[in-house]
Amino acid sequence: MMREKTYKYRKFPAFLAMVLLIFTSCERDLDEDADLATFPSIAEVYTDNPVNLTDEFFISFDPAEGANTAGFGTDDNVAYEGTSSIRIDVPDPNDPGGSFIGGIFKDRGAGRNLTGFDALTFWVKGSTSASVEFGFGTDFEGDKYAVDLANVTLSTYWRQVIIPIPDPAKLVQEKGMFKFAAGTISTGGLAYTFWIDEIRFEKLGTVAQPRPKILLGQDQFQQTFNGSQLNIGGLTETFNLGNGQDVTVNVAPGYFDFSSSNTAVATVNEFGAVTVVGAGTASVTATLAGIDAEGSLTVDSQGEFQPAPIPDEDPVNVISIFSDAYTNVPVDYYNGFFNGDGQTTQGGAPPININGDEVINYTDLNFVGIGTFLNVPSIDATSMTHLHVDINVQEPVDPGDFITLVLINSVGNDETSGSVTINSADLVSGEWGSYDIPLGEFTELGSRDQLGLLFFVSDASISNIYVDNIYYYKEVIDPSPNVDDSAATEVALPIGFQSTTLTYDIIGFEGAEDTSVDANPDPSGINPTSRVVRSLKASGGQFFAGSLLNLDSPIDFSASQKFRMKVWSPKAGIPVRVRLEDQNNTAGIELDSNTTTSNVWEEIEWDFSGVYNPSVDYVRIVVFFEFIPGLPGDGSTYYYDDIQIVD
Amino acid sequence: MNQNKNQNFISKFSWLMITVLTLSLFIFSSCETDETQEVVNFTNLVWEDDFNANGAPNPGNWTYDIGTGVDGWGNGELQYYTNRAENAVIENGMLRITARQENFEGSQYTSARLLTKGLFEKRYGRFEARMKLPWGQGMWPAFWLLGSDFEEVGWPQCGEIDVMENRGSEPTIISGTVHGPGYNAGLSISKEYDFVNERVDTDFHVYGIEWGPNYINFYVDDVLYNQITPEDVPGEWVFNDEFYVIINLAVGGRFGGPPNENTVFPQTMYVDYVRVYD
Repeated sequence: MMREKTYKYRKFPAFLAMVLLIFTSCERDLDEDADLATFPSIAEVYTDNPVNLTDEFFISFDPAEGANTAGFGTDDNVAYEGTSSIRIDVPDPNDPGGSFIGGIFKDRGAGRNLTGFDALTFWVKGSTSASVEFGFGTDFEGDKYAVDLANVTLSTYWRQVIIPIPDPAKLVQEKGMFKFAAGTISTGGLAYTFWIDEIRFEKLGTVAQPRPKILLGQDQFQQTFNGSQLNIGGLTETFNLGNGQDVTVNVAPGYFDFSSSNTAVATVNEFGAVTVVGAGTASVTATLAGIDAEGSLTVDSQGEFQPAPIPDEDPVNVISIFSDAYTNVPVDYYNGFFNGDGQTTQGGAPPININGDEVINYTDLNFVGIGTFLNVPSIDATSMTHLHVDINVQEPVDPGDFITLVLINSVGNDETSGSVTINSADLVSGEWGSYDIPLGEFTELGSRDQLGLLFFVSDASISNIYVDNIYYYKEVIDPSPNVDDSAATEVALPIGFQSTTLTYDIIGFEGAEDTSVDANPDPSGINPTSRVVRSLKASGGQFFAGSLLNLDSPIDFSASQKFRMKVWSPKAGIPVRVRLEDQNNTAGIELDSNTTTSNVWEEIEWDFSGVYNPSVDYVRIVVFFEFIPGLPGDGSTYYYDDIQIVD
Repeated sequence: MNQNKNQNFISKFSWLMITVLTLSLFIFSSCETDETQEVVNFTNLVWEDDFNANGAPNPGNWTYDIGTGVDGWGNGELQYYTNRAENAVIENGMLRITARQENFEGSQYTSARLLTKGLFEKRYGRFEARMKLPWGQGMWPAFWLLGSDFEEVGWPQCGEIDVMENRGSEPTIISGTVHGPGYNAGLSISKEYDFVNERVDTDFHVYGIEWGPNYINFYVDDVLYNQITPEDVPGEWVFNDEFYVIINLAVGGRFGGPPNENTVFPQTMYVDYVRVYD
């Protein structure tokens, strides 16, 4: 607008002069525009050269994080006005010099007083219509008054960009003169060039209708506890510019004045960090330059928080997704917000902090997924035996309430999934319930070498839970003594295959026909006994090739349901499925448990406590090695021994 | 304020420039030679409303247009005009005309249009109002005069003087326009004024005309930005008889188009005073 007007005046100098004369004599002045066309030199940041900045005015973002410093320069062949402009060559994502470009123009002196201005303005054009971020106030010294305008779409002709100053009175000593950040997401990975010229702060007089927002203008509610740390984000301000267009900038918290309606419940600092200090309700709001910001955070503290039990698994046996007790693997998110699929669940983005303890609070729960498959490695839990999670239900638990945990392996690529449900009887309200779920109970999962999603599903039967200590672990079993059944009078647990008088009724099938009691090939370690069961899973055999052992008496599950075997496998991390059946195979239960090592005897446990039926007589044990649907046998030979129930 | 009259603005621009230039020179001479007379002519306050009594506007000064007229008052306007306090009320020394987004009598918006018709009608003088305007796409505030013989001779024969019109999407620009036979709607005689470094929605400005025999001067605050005389209009000069005053806030219509998702409601037009001098 200013420039067009300037041209107009140049075009009609005589007209200008005469109108001036006429209206002066009629006691009416020309409008005051002419007086406003001058700016202090300190207003300018870059015209044909950096103004009032040192030669080292550009500071790149960190090259160690991928910022490309080679694409920054000036161009004496392109200018909006004058002879030179700043030229930015945005690299493609595979550029060895860095995949994006950006940085700041910094006043290396004492800083500038920008209180007399209301906007940063500049002209920009691109070789293509890409999306770039600009701003000011970022000084790499805390960025206290940073203002960013994201998603500025470049045009191939010069276009002016106006970034309003939310509260010029704050900028008494500002060093962050300009900022840009550009990548190729908006161009699908194609490199491009853009030029910037005539960067200056201005007093436009037309930056108006300021509408600050916190939390993106939402009124949010958070049930929480003393010690909780919450951050007020989503800080923006929308202005209406002289051209009638709205512009929304992201605003640093330094421009806002935050306040709490009840500081006995919650306090808030200058950065918008809220600390919950007492039981009750408090509302945190903000103003910017005296204008009430839209949006608020209401916290309802229930008082002291009872943290989840501290896990005691040895870290070497743990793959942790979310726990302060362990180093967590990277995750894509703790809430995937699959809203298009009907998800209502809020929370977990990010987890909340209560007295230094990170914890996830899912509200409006129907289902929610924790992702490890997009931009982070998926989890290989083949050597793990259990999933642990602590859940604190924040509402009464009614009959029929449930939380189902679902694991998905190899997301989107022949994925498999398995689920385990925690029923209402095992959920606890207002307290922590700790759940150690054998991974073998996720029976449809098959492999667990690429776990990508862990879902909590309640179908809204439970809507508010705290979750903590989500991790996989390998249960380290103290090996049981070897079973000496040489004097046994019937084939019944415990079985050590040491009897020379009993007939062990073992039948191999579907490719594992070559299964029988045989000599221990490796009488060492935890199993030095002489006789074991040898089972060959023939090459090309069915994935469900296995062997059954008929018992003379049913398994006694009355005291314990922990089923143990010693196993010798040439392969680590493969599932071994154990199925227990009644006489006519009208009732059966089955679980997977993985080998954790190879070519050595190890003891594995199958915990049938969650699935067994006390009224059924289980008289047949079926064993499947490497039970992975669709994966045929490969000629491996497996051994097992010492079948027993341990307490 | 009838019909869209902005289409020919650009093509008229150069022509207007020359005209204004010429006329300005003429005025220049007039001011120099007869300045006292010019000032005296329009400093005698003959009618005013300062809107100092809280409540409903003075029924001795103002009447209302109610409803939607025909085709949204001839312009495809979207509001339903009411005389409710929600749409027109005096508070803190200001007339507030407020456009609201609400379902009302089949319309999506309500607002108000106040007239001095039958209460105050006058030929010639300085007509001015001090106002702060609403903002946002779809707002169409106006301060204008319509010929008192409108019902006898019809529009545009009655004549229309738009002292101030604004599109809410152009917060620095207003326009002053005349409509008459042979120069109305898209062919009206109009000129825009751009505040450039000020806005109409954040500050009060005085919008006025000086209207005498065979001339109408348009000004904003202390800036005279246009003069229209019979030489400027390609038809009969119909501005030598009585007119009445209208102040309204339209929503939508063919001047600036309908509101969009960024338009903030409600929107209020503040009128500090309307004054007429002889």
